Amino acid sequence: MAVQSMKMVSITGDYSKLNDAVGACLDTGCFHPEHASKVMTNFTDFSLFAEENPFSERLQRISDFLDRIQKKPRIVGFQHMADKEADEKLNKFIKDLDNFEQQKSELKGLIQENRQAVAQLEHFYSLNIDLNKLLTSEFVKVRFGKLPVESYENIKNYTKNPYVLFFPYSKDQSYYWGMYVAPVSAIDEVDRIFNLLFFERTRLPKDFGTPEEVINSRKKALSKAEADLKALDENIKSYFAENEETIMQIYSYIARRNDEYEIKKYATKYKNYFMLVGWIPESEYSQFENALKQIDGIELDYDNPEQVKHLTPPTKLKNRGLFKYFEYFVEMYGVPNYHEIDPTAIVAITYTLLFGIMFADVGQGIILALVGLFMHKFKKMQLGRILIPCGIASTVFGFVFGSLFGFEHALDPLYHSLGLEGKPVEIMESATGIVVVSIGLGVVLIILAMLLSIISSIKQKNLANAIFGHNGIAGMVLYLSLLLVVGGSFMSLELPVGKIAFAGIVLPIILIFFKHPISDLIKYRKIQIHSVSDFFIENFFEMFEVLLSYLTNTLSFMRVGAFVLIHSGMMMAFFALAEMMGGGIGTAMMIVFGNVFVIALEGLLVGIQVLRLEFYEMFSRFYNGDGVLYKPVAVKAE
Amino acid sequence: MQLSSAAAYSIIPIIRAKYGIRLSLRDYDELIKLKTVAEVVAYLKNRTHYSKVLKGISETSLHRGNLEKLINKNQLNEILRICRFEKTVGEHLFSYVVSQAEIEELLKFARFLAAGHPEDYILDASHAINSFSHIDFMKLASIHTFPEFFDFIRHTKFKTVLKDQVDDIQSLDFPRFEAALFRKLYSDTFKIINTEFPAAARTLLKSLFALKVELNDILLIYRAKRFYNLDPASINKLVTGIRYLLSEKMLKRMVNAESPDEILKILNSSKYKKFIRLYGFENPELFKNHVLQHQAERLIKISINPPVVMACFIILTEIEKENLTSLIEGVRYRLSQEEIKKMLVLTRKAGD
Repeated sequence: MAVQSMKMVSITGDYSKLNDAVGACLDTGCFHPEHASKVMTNFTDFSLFAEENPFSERLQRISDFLDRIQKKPRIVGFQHMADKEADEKLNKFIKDLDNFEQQKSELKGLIQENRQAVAQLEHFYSLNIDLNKLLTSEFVKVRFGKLPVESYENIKNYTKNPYVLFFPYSKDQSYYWGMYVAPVSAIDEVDRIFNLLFFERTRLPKDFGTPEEVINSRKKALSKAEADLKALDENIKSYFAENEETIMQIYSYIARRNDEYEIKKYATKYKNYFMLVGWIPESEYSQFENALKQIDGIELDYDNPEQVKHLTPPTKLKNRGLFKYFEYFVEMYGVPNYHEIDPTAIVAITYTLLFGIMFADVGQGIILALVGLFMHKFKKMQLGRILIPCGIASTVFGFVFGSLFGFEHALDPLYHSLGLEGKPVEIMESATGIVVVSIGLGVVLIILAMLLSIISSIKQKNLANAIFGHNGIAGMVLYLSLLLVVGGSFMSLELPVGKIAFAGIVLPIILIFFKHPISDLIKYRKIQIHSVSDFFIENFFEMFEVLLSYLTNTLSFMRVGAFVLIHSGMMMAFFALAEMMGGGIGTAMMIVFGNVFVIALEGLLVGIQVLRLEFYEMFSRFYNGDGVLYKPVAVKAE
Repeated sequence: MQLSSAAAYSIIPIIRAKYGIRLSLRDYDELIKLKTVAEVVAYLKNRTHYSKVLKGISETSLHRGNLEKLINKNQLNEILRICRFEKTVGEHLFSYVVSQAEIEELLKFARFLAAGHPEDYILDASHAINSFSHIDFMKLASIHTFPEFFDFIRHTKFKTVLKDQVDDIQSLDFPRFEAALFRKLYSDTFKIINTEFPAAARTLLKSLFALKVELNDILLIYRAKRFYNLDPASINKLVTGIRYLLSEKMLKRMVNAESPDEILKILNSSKYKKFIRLYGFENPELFKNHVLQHQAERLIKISINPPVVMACFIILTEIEKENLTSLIEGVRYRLSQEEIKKMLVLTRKAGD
């Protein structure tokens, strides 16, 4: 549980060696660049690297191309090639792909046209007339289409216009499919009448032959086009599979050249020299130094973070095993700054513990761990790795509360064999106790957060905060005293309340209230208060908020106990429903459904609630999370 | 009708839910910006409760008249669905809706017949009404003369409207025919209200329908004065005689009024004054719908009487249908957005 130590390295040398230096930085994979201008504070006549990156557009092109052929970009090592050669090869592949897609588009058009023709003609299958002759006749016009069933009934009674005749060929629930015919001179009027009757026209192909013949020929054409499309797809696939290595080589070359340009933007030029600055983990310094030594004419120098206080070193978290998985939650809140405590291990332990208590069930815990394993192994989901320890903790606490898939007495034989009368904790009979214990757990965690705040403040050399802060020693004394007074009155303890109130409550409140002026006095600085009235008003409200937060943060942990009760209550409800099913398959299904429902809904709720406790009740006391994530440069496929 | 069953009352939230998905002000604002009927169809199809009735209909090939027919069909289906849900409430009210649609169909044929081309009726015949009515409107296709038409009517429930009609005449006193049909409709409706609904619902239903009839009478008198210059005796034969907010004396004054302006003056001294102040009387047709919408919207929100809530829903769907018909006409004839908006009866709903 720590933040890894960093060194700031400065690389200087002849400007002609900049490419080599950048290349070496990329190869080591541990260099986190920093703008060199930030350290050249004593120089004014340096210039920044201002060349336009000619590879960003090329990278975009090849990325788009890879998208089109549905290949994921891959780095296959750096193989030097001339820029022109890379361009020519890429252009050829893009042109080939354009040609393939053109052919595909034509075939798809053909398939669509034939499918539509077949679908339309099938309504007129029984028509035994050559379509071409019918649709190209000179003196009569033929309209194919569909007419609503009601309109067809209306038309039967229409006698005014002799051409308003509809010849149906097929019928479905709502429409008659058929045609009407009229002389060219009368077609406009007949069209108008049919339009009033909701007729919807279908434009049939003017192929030679009867609909049946045309359907057959179109179906043949359709089969051929589909086969051609399949063959073309195979062809395209094998073509790009054969050339995949070449394509990835071009991609790797362009990606590396692009990254080189991006790193150069951090460099500065002074006369004929360059300067490149960045951070590397202390443990990798010798490896980095060896790599840079291979280049003639450049110099490497390093500083510790304390020597460059105006720069913020990036944070590289150093956690092992299960703890590492919980970096996901810490990064979600914010990376710790270089001088802060890394809270990952604390989160890992407290999150797992709280989750286990709130979702205590042997069977459901095992299921949750297995789901986590599946998510991690097969879906590569970070959350899956966190679910595994949480599921195990649920199983452990399931034994404490004696619950197995909601069966509250299934584990009794186990307890009897261990010499116990029954389960260690009977949830529904110990409801008040569970809530009290959960508040007690909250008190412990809040005190832990205050301790971490004191350590973190000392680490950051902020003694005023460590001693007088509301999360410092004064705050902790105040919080403990308040607990003592309140707890003592509940338990009817005979305490020297007056002394505790003065030493443990009034005095810490005064110290917290005057934290800033006292801090100035300790540092032999002039007290910095702009307005006395503003100072008192601001600190009064701040003090009010601090006292309120002690209360709300503590009571917030009641949710731990509440979820223990909810979990048990929900399972009881499903068991009552299962009982109503009257036994058999219905009961079994209800129990399975209840378990699935509780695992999904409550698992999610508990996960969120515990995270809330971590972030609001604990992190807010000792953690800023305003660091910069360590991101070393390396050629990566994006 | 027994309204004690839970089912009868459960229709109320269902109707209110249906009422909740009506076209909103935002929908109308979007619709009046559209340039073509095809765009209107596309909007209704994709973004409103008309999607079901317009499903599978090609936006580009749909004629304005056909769109209106589909909207009518949708309205009838919506009301039928509600009425069928709770038959004890819905059956009688649906018979009112069907009778009204039947009258419109008969009047439509009468217009074709009067114009000399009854054959064309069949092209404009409603598809929707055939599914609900006991009258076989397809038979009208073979009718070419008024005596044949009267004979047709004599075989329907509307036979009583012909008691003053002489068989051998070759033309029709259209206003009297129309008035007789509607008089028959409302007399049947009030009879049903008096016999089939409980007292609490009866009063509100009667007031709602009486308001509708009275507004129709006001509109009729106004038109007779403004466009046809009819004498008081002729107008008296057309009005229904059912009163709600107007007294008999006031109605008589309106019938005897010298000019349309005098009618407005009389209305301004009646209980309609507040509605004139709210909605104006520049367009009497719109005024009628505004007043009806005002009352129906109020009752649909507060009433706990299933028949009243259902009747309000019927009135409000009719107004939405008329709004859409006006909007489609406005878009078709390229009226400006302001002109179209003036033709609509709009109210705000939650979310507008």
